[in-house]
Amino acid sequence: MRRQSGITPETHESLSPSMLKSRRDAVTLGLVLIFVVLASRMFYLQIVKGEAYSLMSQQNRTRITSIRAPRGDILDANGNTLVTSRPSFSVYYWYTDEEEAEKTLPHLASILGLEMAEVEKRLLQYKGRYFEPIPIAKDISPEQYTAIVEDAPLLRGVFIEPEPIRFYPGGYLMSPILGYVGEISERELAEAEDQGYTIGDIIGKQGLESYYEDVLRGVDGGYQVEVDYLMRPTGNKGPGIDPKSGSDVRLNIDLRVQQAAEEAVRRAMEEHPTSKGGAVVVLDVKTGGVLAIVSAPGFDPNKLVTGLSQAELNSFLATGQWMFSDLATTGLYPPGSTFKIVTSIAALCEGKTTPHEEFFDPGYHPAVPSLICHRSWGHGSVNLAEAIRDSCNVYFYEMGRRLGMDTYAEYARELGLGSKTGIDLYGENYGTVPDSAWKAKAYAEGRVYEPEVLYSEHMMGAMGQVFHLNTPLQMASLTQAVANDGVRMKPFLAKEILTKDGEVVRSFAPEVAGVLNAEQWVFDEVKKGMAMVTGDPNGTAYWAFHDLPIKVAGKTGTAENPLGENHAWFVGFGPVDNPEIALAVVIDQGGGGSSVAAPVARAIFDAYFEPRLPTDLEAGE
Amino acid sequence: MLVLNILSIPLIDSATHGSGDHFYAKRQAVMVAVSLVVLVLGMAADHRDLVEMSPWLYGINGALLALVLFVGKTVGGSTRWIPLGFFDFQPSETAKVVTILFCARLLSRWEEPPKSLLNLAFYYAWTFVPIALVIAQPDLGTSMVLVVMCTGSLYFGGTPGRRIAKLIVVGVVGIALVLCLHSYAGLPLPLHDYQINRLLTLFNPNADPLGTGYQVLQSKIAIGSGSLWGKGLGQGTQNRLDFIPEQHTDFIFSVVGEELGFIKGLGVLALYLCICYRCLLAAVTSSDRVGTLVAGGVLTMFLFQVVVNIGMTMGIMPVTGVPLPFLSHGGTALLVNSFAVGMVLNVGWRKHKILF
Repeated sequence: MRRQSGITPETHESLSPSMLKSRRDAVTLGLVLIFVVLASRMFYLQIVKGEAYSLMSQQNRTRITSIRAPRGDILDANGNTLVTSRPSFSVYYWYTDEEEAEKTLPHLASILGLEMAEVEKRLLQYKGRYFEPIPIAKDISPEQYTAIVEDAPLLRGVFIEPEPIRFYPGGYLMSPILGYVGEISERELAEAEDQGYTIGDIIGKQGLESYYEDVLRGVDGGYQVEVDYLMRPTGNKGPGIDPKSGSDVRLNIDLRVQQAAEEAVRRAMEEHPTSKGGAVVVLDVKTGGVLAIVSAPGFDPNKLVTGLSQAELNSFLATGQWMFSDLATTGLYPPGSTFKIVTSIAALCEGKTTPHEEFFDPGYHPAVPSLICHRSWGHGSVNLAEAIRDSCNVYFYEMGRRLGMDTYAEYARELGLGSKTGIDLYGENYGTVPDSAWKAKAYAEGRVYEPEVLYSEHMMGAMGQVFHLNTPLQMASLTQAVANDGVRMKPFLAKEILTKDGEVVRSFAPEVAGVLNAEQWVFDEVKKGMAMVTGDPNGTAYWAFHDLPIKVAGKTGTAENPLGENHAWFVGFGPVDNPEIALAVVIDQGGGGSSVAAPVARAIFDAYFEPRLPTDLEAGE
Repeated sequence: MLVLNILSIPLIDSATHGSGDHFYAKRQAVMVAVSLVVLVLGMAADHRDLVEMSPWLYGINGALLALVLFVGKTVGGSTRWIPLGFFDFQPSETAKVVTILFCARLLSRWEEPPKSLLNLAFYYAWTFVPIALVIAQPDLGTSMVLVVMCTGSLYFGGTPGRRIAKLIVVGVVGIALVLCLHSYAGLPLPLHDYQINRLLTLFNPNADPLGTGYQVLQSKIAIGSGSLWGKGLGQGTQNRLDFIPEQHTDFIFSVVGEELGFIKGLGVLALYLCICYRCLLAAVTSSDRVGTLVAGGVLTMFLFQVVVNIGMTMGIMPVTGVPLPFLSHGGTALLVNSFAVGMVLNVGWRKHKILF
């Protein structure tokens, strides 16, 4: 190939015509082909798949934002508020991009006093759902509110939303029973996904908040919002549904009695530093309605609802799960001498004794001298009522020997021990009513040393001291049944469900849980003995009740605890002649039932009877 | 061409949401007006004189391309513009026309079209300087346009089609081989990762819908949701809410598809077809070889850009920064394209009757 020196038009030979023609045809064909390809691709995208892409573009730009339904309140029988919601401010963050987040979030975290790691954990939870605002902090202080508003230009994507927050005016009051709410956990979400829960929803975590979740929760509303490519809302709103607020739950609880019971339990725990906790259940004898229910120490649910910081959570965990436990329905205690009520009824019904038969107590049982009475010199000759009054161990060893464990276990079960009472709370415990079948099974499982019930166990079991375990609620229910002449009512907390306007949408009727078929004189005799506990100068709890104008009945118990101090029990009812309330008190490792638990019961009776004792109170002042 | 030019104004306005008091649209309108003047200039100048001048233009343009690397304005990671107050001059755009002219000069000075490997290498070596400078910006798209244009000029210069086909196959296989070596053996490449990813994304755009494939997916959604009649100018949600990236420049055709729909979109395609066909006619009927080469080069330039750009918005071409002639926002490109059309019209006037 030679290069030419200059360009002149003459040397510019065009290509041969035939070549040009073939090139023209080839390129024309190419052009047509290319444009047909482009046009058919357009046809495919716009006509064939047009609808699908239209839908995708619609989904691209619309998101559903939910409006949380206000949660229902929990009220006491007289309409006092036990749980409600109060206004608060929460901080949310719209995630746009990493660069922006790296600038904004450390600043936000420092205002809110959060660790960056916590904020990042939040972001991670919302990965892939960035069109939703990410909750960063709840219930911020007025100072934090001001700081965020002032620094708004530096905090792009951060915004503050007013939000109702759960409020428990009583703080520790009834806390394990009322429960608390919190953000739905991943596990709860997996279980409740079909019920319309989404991440970030508030759900009842324990107690009544959990049990009546469906009632309290309401129905969330929502509306369509248009978002841009960074999932930021443009301000255009689509159609929506208004939220439907949750219903209120009215309990049988009488706040006045409840407060007195809480105070009394806490006072008892303070006075007896060995005590680890306490529980009270007060039941309406006729209906089974729960008038008061205490589980101490409890916790302050207000601290839980805003979401705990890691430090707070650690300090909570340091105290263990104990404070969250509802001792009233899940705490298991040997019933001790309160079980003698069961033995008495069994002995009378089975004809193993009569109200008038006297048994001599020399301070020990003649058949097994190692089984001694709590009074070393004995109670002398006592009949059934006197044995209850004195809580005479030897008399009941004898009854146990005559009845046999299987017989009085049968009566215990008929009075509701060993099974759930059916109260409207989750997690209630069954407890244990030992008998020969139970012991054989326990032996097979390696929990006891011998397969048969020992001679001494038949005797000791009569005073609730052999493998017996009951919840305070079961003992209250048993006492209620005795006071109600054998008709045991199902204990229930919620009385009614009301709309926000106060209209009753559902009321819970009392239900009979079981009937002990015994003749009236049997109950009269046992009640007589229980009345002597508080009313007879020799009674184990006389000192605590002697000046109460309205006569009540009861039974103390001091349950031996191989792991520590004795558990102090008191069960009782009043007034004696026409019982209205029945109660059970236990102070976990509090000591003696007479000295520790009885005064608590006295305080509760005082509070309950207070409205009809105006003159007495005035005289006392 | 005029229709496309004028259409670009409302489209760009829509694509920039009338931002800054319709700043982009106004600037585009001014540029359209200026481009008409440039069109007339292109028509008036004798293309043979231009080809004669091309070594000078080649030198000046090369110097500007080098200058841009030092004083250029950087947007989105690449340095392409020399700021000139009202608009930013983009030397890589003028490089397209200059390369067409320079290639025409090279080829026309050879008696026979280059066929041997040595001659072809010599030919490509001349174009290597501007291409290397454009890659350095980095602007992979424009450098590809330049390479393809050189090849197109070869075709219109008379090099046998079979040889060019071989060349293309070797080139494509070579690039694929280099990419494979890069991916699996870590061969260093003077390219950014994102550019390589873009090339690879073509093969599976759904693999990473929030990463590289995101743009293509959103663009396809935009075009697809336009359906038969479109959502109406300014009404495209994919456009308005910025789901489409770069919607006023590289992805302007997504806005066309979404807001104008299939029928009007076909009309836009037809306009491009007309322009390309007009170039082809000018090339084959030109009275001289230089005219054929110029018109053929312009044809290659338009066709390649249209195919790559529109193909990219519809997910059948890799995402490269190749603008759509006349519609994409960009002053230099508009002027250069207008000038190119002017040259083609000039060639067309000097045709001689060929009897086939």
